[in-house]
Amino acid sequence: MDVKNMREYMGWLYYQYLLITGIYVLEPWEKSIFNTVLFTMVAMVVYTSYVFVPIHIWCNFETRLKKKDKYYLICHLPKCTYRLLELSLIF
Amino acid sequence: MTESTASKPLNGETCLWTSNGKKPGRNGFVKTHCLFQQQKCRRPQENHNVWHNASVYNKPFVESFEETPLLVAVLTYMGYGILTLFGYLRDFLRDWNFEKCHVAKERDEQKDFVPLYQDFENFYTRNLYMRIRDNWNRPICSVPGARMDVMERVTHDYNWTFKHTGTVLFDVINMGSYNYLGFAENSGLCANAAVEAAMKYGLGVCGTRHEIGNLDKHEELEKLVARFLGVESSMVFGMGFATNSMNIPTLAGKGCLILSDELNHASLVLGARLSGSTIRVFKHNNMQSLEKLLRDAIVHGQPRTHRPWKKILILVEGIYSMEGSIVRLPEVIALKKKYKAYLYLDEAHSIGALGPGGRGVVDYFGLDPCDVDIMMGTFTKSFGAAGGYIGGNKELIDYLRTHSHSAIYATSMSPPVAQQIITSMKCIMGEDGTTLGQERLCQLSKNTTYFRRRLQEMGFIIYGNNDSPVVPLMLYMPAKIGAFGREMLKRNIGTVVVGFPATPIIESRARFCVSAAHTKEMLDTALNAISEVGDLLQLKYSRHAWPSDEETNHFSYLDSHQD
Repeated sequence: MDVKNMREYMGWLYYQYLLITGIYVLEPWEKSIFNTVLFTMVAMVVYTSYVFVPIHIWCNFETRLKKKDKYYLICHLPKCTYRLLELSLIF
Repeated sequence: MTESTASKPLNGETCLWTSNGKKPGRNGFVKTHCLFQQQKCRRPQENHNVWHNASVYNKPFVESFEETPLLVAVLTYMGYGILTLFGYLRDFLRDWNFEKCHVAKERDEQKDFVPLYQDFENFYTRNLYMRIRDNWNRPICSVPGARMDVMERVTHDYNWTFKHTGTVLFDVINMGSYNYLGFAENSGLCANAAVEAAMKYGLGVCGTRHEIGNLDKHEELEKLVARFLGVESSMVFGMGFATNSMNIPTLAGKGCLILSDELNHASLVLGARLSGSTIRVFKHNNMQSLEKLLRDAIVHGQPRTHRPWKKILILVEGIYSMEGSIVRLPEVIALKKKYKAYLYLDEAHSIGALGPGGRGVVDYFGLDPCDVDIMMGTFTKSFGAAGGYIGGNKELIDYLRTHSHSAIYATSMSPPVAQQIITSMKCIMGEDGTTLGQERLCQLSKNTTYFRRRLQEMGFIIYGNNDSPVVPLMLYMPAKIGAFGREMLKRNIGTVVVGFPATPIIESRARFCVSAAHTKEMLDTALNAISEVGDLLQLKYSRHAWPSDEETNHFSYLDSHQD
């Protein structure tokens, strides 16, 4: 019963998304194009934030801790970034 | 963009020169002898536009044009932007022959000539209107009374062509017809009288008023209309639009000034343009704007020669059909008298629908019909017929009889139609011996108040005056225009939705016309369906706190079912 309500609610949310962006009036293939483009852009944003946001937060933290004002001299930023990129490439 | 023009006061100008001998104040601002002083305090006004000049009104004049919420405006522009991009994509595909083009195009042999069709003019029609076109031009196969029968259509190529399935949707509640007093019926007193007239006179008139097309029915009708309005004399025409567009050129010409409201109907605009006069536009229902224009016109005269204007004609409507607002007639008449201008009042929607006696907006405000120089109206809306009339002084109407294009060239009104008007008008005046007219007027007024109050309580943004039977409900977003029309038809209610270019681009709306033929049950059914669709489409934008439904609005989405 809860699953059915959730599915109905998700369907209603999708309908709101169609109405607000104006896609409701388009033909199905145009809807698919728009959804694909939007999904790709959102996926790229999520991926970039997953890779780069933690390291930037950590380096900022380090800067404040060591009371130095040069961001790029602190820590092993190039190495850390390189390591993280390696890790993400594995996945 | 988001503020309504009717509620904004004119900006005070600092005058460096004095026109009346007074010294300017410290900031250079001179108090002028304007009839209607501008608001001194510049606080953002409450949107309920009440009581600017209370002395001339004998009852509260409550109009509201709630501001567009900023988020909704931004999302609407975003929606239009996305649809424009897809429009460009489809135009590109059509141009390069990747898909079949349904629009009219030139032949290959004509490619080197100057193009016949300007593409961008029809961009909106091709790419947005076509996609939601099934909401308009719906064929009806019964009398458009309180309930009607709609023929069902399907489209297999996304609204470029339609096919009738053969099924008929019966008893669709009609919230779109201009049937204010319920005279659109195929049985009863009016219909029987019209049938008798058809039996006696036939249907066609085969002539203009000047030639053998002048029937005794027309003379009888004109005397009746003059008595109904309280004027000396009147003249009737076969078509309402043509009444405006063909008679304004007769009344005004070169060297005259026409002051017309921002939101006037296309017939008034066309008539004003055809006349060749100078046209100046004042902000919608804004008396300060009108007064400023009048003063400027009288002070400066005609553009280059500075001669005085031959005449100044003010064009206003009784009820504006896209906004639901009522003209501020007492103030307009006061201005007209002060500055010696003439007033042309187009009562297309307000005749029969406003006022205790159904005599229109003049009756509604309790004013003297002699104050309005030219009273024009149509018989399409409240009388269930077709055609228009102009009423006024005997000299004016005699002049129109000889000089109007409509009288000389246009076929006159058909006899059964004239008889329908005669019978319905006598019914409204109470001269047929029954109280049917008075009952219908009361029913319309009750229905209007009830419908508007319930819609405002539900949380929709409704424009217009509390007493006007035209109720615009704001939709804003382009996709919701199509969705609203379709969802309402699924629930067996026929509505009219309006978008650009009849309205400003972001202010698309659904327009309901309340009728005296609607019973309370019908209105309740319609209101429940509107509320349901409003929850489904999230249309309850209003930010005013209404006591009854505020709690339920937040959680109503959990109960609503999807498409």
